[in-house]
Amino acid sequence: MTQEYLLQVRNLRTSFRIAGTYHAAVDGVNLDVSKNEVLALVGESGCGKSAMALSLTRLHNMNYTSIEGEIFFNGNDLLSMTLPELNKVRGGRIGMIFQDSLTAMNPLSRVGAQIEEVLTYHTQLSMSEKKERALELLNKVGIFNPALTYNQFPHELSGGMRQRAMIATAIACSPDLIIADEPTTALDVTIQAQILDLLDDLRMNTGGSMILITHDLGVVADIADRVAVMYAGQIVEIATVYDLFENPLHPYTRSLMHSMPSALSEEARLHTIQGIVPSLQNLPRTGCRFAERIPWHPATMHEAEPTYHEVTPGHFVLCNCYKTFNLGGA
Amino acid sequence: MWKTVVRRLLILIPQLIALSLIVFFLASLMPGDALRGQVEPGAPPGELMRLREEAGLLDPWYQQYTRWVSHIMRGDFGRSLQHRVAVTTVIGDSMMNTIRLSIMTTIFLYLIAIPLGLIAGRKNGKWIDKTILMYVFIFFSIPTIVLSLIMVLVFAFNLGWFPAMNSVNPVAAVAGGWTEFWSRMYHLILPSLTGALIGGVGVIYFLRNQVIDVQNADFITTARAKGTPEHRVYSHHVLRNALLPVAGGIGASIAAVFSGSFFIETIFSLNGMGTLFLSSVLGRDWPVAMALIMFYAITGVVSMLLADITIMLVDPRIRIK
Ligand SMILES: Nc1ncnc2c1ncn2[C@@H]1O[C@H](COP(=O)(O)OP(=O)(O)O)[C@@H](O)[C@H]1O
Ligand SMILES: [Mg+2]
Repeated sequence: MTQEYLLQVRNLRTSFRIAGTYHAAVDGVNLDVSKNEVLALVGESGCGKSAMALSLTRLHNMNYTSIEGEIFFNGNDLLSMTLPELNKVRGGRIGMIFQDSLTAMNPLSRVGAQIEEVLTYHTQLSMSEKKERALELLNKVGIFNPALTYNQFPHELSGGMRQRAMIATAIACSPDLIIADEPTTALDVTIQAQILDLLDDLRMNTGGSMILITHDLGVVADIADRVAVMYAGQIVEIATVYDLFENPLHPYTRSLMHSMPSALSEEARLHTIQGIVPSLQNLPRTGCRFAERIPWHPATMHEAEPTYHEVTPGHFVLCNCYKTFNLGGA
Repeated sequence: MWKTVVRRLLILIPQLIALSLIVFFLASLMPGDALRGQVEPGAPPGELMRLREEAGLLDPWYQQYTRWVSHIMRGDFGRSLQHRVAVTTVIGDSMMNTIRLSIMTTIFLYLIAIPLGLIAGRKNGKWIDKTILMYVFIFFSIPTIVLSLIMVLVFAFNLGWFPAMNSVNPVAAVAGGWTEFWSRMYHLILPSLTGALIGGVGVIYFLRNQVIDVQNADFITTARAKGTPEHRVYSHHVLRNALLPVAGGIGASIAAVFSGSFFIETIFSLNGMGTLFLSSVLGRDWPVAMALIMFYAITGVVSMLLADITIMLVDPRIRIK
């Protein structure tokens, strides 16, 4: 294990029990995140991004979830830690930001108390020091009147303000890693950009790493260092932002690019790939999982057991089908 | 908030008027009256009519009604036809007994139901949850009378821990003061426990499902993502959110305890409002029955109001206008 990696995910498999049998939503993921790196995790809704994000700190309901594999964080395997050990990491070394800030905050607690809670478990600060720090954090995330917001309840804030408060909580203990699961999806377009800028600024100032999860390739170009494209529980392509945008390989990546608004030429719109991510029970578990969404592509072009191909250094793509694929067939 | 309280109490007035009108009307349809049994066997034939005339029972029901209302306005609930004393005197004792019983029952009820509901929800599917659910289903289907008899048999007769009947020890009642108070409390333990064991099952089941729901909420995941220890996740985040709707049910619960106390009062020979109500209806003692009905109605509305105020105090999202 090399030390420059902050996070190393090895063969992660997260399965949910549905009607008695376990179905993998994250199916054999390998991933490294370096110190100070921003990794974007991109894919359509339902492809397993959240399932993976929650697995990293074992936040699933373990009554019906199984998480296998190894997750090394600063060299320690998060999956084999005891819960008290893990609780030191959660909120302390890894901060989380969720998509829907309204449901992700306790409706009965004031914003200030919710920020202070994370300080309670990870610092020795006194009550008044915690309050001071909470106000400081609210100010830092761009809330105009921290003293007011401190005493407000989540429902009294706008979506953007709430997401800022969530960010304040996530960065409160200067974590090594922030996991942001679609932090702007629930927000207005104008506010989305502000929140993303804020996240990027904060991360650059504190010098941590970030996993930014989104279904929108458009938001990652400015912020991310590398991009992992996820489909049906697998990473189908991973590369630096530059490589990925210059030379998208996997059919899925290319279809995502073509569905970006800026790329929507008349021709591309015609060729946008149809269908949705299959549900867990209906997911093809053998062969190329994307094959069924590009039926015009000859079956012989896929590998029977897809493997990763390193096309240029650090640019990996799953399955051979990228070599012969044309958007829209022909 | 005070606006709400006042408005609710104002709504109570038409409710009481409608209710009393219905009761008066129905009473006029019922055969028999309270005075028949009170006429001495050798009395002259006109005596019964004279007594009825005197009590105003011969007037049409709406005239009786307006007279009753005008008396109430002056704080006069009239005289009991059966007991020939003021209604307030007849009701006083039994009302205090029922209020004491209901308060004790409500306290026991929540003392039992809240911990059991929380444990069952948290240990959803485990043996302790299954055990609690078994209790819920058994006590949901057991009639109050049967449980009361079992309780009396076991705890009063076999074990001899509690008295089987009456609301106070006569000696203690004479002594008065704290001696009397403790004697009354002691006599109430068995009946109120019985009421609580039965009345609590709904609360347990509701709270259990609340806990199961709330522990899957996003903000619980957030709490865990902050490194909150599991016991704090439950005591701080799950508990308050799961109890919220239960607090909303506290009014209905109190009202149910009040109106459901009848069987328990009967079996434990507590001289309460339930038994008094039955005897006054059977004896056609309408002044007493009316006063009791009004009291039940007011209790119902006030306990609902109490529930709303509780919710307003605990849930920042709700501001009733
Ligand atoms: N708790 C769960 N129980 C059962 N299935 C789940 C659960 N969470 C997610 N899934 C399923 O796993 C797949 C991936 O979901 P998710 O990770 O939420 O996708 P994404 O975040 O990429 O939109 C979906 O098919 C979803 O239905
Ligand atoms: Mg998601």
